[in-house]
Parts: sequence; C-alpha cells; structure tokens
Amino acid sequence: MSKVWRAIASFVGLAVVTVPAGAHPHAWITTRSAVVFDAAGQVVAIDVDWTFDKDYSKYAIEGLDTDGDGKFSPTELQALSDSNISALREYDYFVYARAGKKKLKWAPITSYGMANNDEGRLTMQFTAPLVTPVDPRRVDFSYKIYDPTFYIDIEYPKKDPLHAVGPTPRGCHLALLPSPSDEQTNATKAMLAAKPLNWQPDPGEDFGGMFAQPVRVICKKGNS
Amino acid sequence: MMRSLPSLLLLILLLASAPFAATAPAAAAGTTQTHKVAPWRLIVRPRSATGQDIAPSIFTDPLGWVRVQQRIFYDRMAAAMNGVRAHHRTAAWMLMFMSFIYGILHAAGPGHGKAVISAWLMGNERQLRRGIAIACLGAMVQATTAIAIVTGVLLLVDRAGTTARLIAGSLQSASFAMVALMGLYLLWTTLAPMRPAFASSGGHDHHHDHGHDGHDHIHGEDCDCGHEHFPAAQRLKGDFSIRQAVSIALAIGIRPCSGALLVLLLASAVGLYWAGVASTFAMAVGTAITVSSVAVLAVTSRKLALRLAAYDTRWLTRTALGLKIAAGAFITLLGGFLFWASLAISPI
Repeated sequence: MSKVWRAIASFVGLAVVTVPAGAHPHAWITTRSAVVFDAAGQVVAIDVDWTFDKDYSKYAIEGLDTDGDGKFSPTELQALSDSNISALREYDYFVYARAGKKKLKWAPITSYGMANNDEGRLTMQFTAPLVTPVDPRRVDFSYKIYDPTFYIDIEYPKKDPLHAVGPTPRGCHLALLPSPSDEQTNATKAMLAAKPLNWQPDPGEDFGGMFAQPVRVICKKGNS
Repeated sequence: MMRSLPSLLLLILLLASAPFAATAPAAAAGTTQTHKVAPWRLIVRPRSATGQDIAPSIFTDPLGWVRVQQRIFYDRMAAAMNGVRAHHRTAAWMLMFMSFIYGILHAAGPGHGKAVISAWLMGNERQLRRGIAIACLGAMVQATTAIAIVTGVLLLVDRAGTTARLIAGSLQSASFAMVALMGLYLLWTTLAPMRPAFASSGGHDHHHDHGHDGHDHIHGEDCDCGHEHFPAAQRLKGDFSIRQAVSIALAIGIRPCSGALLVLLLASAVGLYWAGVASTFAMAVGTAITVSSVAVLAVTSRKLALRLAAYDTRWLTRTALGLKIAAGAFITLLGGFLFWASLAISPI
C-alpha cells in the first residue's frame, strides 16, 4: 500500500508543482442589466440585478436573521446592502460606462436593495444614474460590468441577460457582445510585451475590463 | 499542498467549533448598534486604510477565516488541475508509468509471498504455463472490474446531476468522496483482521496460550489487498479446460485492486478519465509481469524463490501493516479534504 501512497503523493505533488496558485474569486455573480431610456431616447441610468452564488450567499447572510423567523427580510439585509453600496462607490459600482472613449460618471445611488431568493441565493438590485444623460444616436454608448480587482467573478446568464426600460429610440437596439477571443487577448499581450516598462496606457484604453462582455446600444446612422 | 497538511487537520477541528464561536462576535456587534458588516462579507476586496489586502482573523470571524482557507485550498487544487489538464499528455504518461511500476512492485511486495510458494509448489512446466496465462488473464479482468465499478458509480452521479456545470462539480466532489471512502475501506481491511485476535484474547480467558501471533501473521497476508494475483497450485492440476481457466481468472479478477480504483478515481477527478483507464491496464500489465517472472523464477531456481519467499518475515509484515494503516489514514484525509475543498465551488 505504501506504493499507492507514494504514487498518489507524486501525482498530486506533480500537479501542485506544475502550476502555482491562480487568482481566486471570492464570489460568483450572475448579472442581468437593463438600459434605462428617458422619453427623449437618452440613456439616463443602468439597472443592475445580481444573483450571488449559494456559498457566498450563505456566508454573507449568516447571523443576519435578527428576528429568528428563518427568513431574511429586506430590512434585515439593510445593513449589508448599505455597506455594499457604499463600498462599491470607489469602484463605480463595478459598472463602467463610456460615451465613445470618454468614461462616464455615476450620480449617487439612491435606489438599491438586497434580498434572499427561494433558492437561497442572495440578490442585489440597484440603479446607477448617469450624471449626464447620453444620446446613443449621437455617440456610441457602451458599458461593462466587472470587478477590476478580480475579487468577484461576474458573468451574464445565457437567458435574458439584457433588456431595456423605457422607449428604445427608433433604429437602436441593445447588444451583449462576446468577450475577446484568445487571438485578440494574445494580440493585446504581444502589444503590451513590446512596450517599454514606463509605458502608460492611454486613458481611453480599458485593459482592466478586457475580459468582460461589453453591452452596446447600437443605432443605425442617420436615423435620429 | 503537502506543506498545508497540518493546517488542514487544524481546519477540520475548527470546522466543528466554528458555528459556536461565530455567534459571539455577531451578538456583540448587535449590541453596539453600529451594524457594521465585516468587510469580508462584502463584495469588494477587503483592504486596510493603507490599501493592503486584509483577511478575516481566525478569532473574530472563524467562519470567514475557514471560508477563506477553503477557497484558497480550492484555488490551489483547481490551479493544479488546470496544470494537469494543460500538460495532460505528460500527466497521462506519468500516471501510466507510475501505475505500471506500482503494478510490478505491488505484486512483489510483502504479503504476496503466497504466490511465490504457490508457484514453487506447482513445480511442473505445464502447470506453470497455465498459471501464468491465468494470472495475466486475471490481472486484465481485475483492471476491467475496477474500470466498471468506478465508471458505473460516476455514471450514477452523472445521472443525478441536472446542469452541465453542476455535473462537473458534483462528479469531482463524488470522486473525492469515493477516494476518502477507499481510504476508510483500506483502514478497515487492515484493522479488521486484527480485531478477532484482540477479542479472543480479551474475552476468552480460558484460551491456553497466546499462540495466535503466527496465525495473525498469516491472516494479514491473506487479506493483503482483498484480492489475489495467482491461482492456487491445486487448482491447476490435472485435466484442464478453457472454461475452468476463465472461471479461475474471473474469480481472481472479480475483486479489483484498491490501487487501481484509487488511480482511476483520482484521474477522473482531474479530468483524465481515459488516462486513468490506460493506467489501470498498465498496472495490470505490471502485475502480470511480476507474477509471471516470480513463477518462472520458482521453476528455474527453487532455492532463490524460497529465499525470496522467506523475506516475508514478521517484522516486514508488521511494517507493511503500519504503512497500510498510515496510507489508509492519509488517503482518507486527502480524499476528505479534497472533497471539502471541492464544495467551495458553487456553480451558478
């Protein structure tokens, strides 16, 4: 039997030695989002709807059932959602929007909340309002939802990832674009490798979010 | 991973006490009315004022601490598995090679002296040829049985799953759980034969002497792997049909070697199922080679064969027994811990 031991030990040892520890997400989020248009067809806000993985959900709400009824009411989750929203401010709420190449800013978030769904998963909803509304017919509007620190893994579901709130301007539609292919990633890597050490990316570039799926409002030209 | 083994043991202990300890700080926080949520419960990376990453302390948030440890261990495991997958060809060859070597050594190891004696007793060339043929056939049947068992159980787990991502997660967890069960089984088969000896000496005072030791020793030999590799000499005598040969091979092969089961389980857990299948056969080939050479040796040089058989001394058996207990415990812990870590992944 000692040989089995050794065989397993060397096999596992080989596995551990081969590759060092990688990045580790703290939680997984399935994200859905909605583009909010006003009556004039301008983008005014992004509605975000997150569903957390079971394990994180269980951990995050442990001990928060203060009235002991076995359910987690929005009130009981208030402290958690308050803390999350205020902590997320520094990170633009993980929603990075652009008009053309220009980064957009969010006004303070006032509408938000967390809940615990039937599957025992924590959910979080919030509306991120733009400081200045954007007309998607005049300038390309796009956004990505990701954690730049890779602490949280955020992915879109296959079913109903995206929708619009309010009237979508005529000739415009929403598109969830694929994340970059391996070739594109490798091209970027090669490009970065060729740069000198003190090179700084152009502020318009977006390397942190290069693996995230962009959402774009695509409008036909001359159809305003 | 080897380094973190002591901390794993500590973790298991902590897991048991964590739920009790966790309630204390939570209650204390409630009375201060601040409702401050521990930073590692939030969805942003916890950092200190100076921007350093911070982690939960084992004293203030044991549950959070355990969670972080589990996640870290899972990441290492996942990274290691990705490594194995990335180098799957090397890993597959490596696994096959090690299994082959294991097959050779295992059949020659202590406790298998019976095969040597058995071969020596046969003495005649015709029986030897039959014996070798049956041993080889038996090894192959053994490999097939191991593959059938593991594949069957994995398919059952597969059926129980619902979505593709869930299956991937639960299959892996199930494989690890089975590795742990294998470890327990090994411990049991090693320790169980010792129990009657204790029971008889303790319970029946009127037993004349404690001459069980010799008996115990032989018993340990018989139960080595829960299986045999070589047909008993008397079964090879006289007229002999193919059907008889096959039935003896089946009798040998019906009880798979635990080593084969383990290799197959671990291989499938890291996504190298086919390499595991190939390794199982490599192990069988190794076993067949050893058993055949021992048999040939027994006929060509009886003296040497006897000397080899005499290696099966008591201290060697005792050492092997100790190693087996250690290996069983290790495999149980390894499987249990990998199982626990694999639960850290929650497919969305």
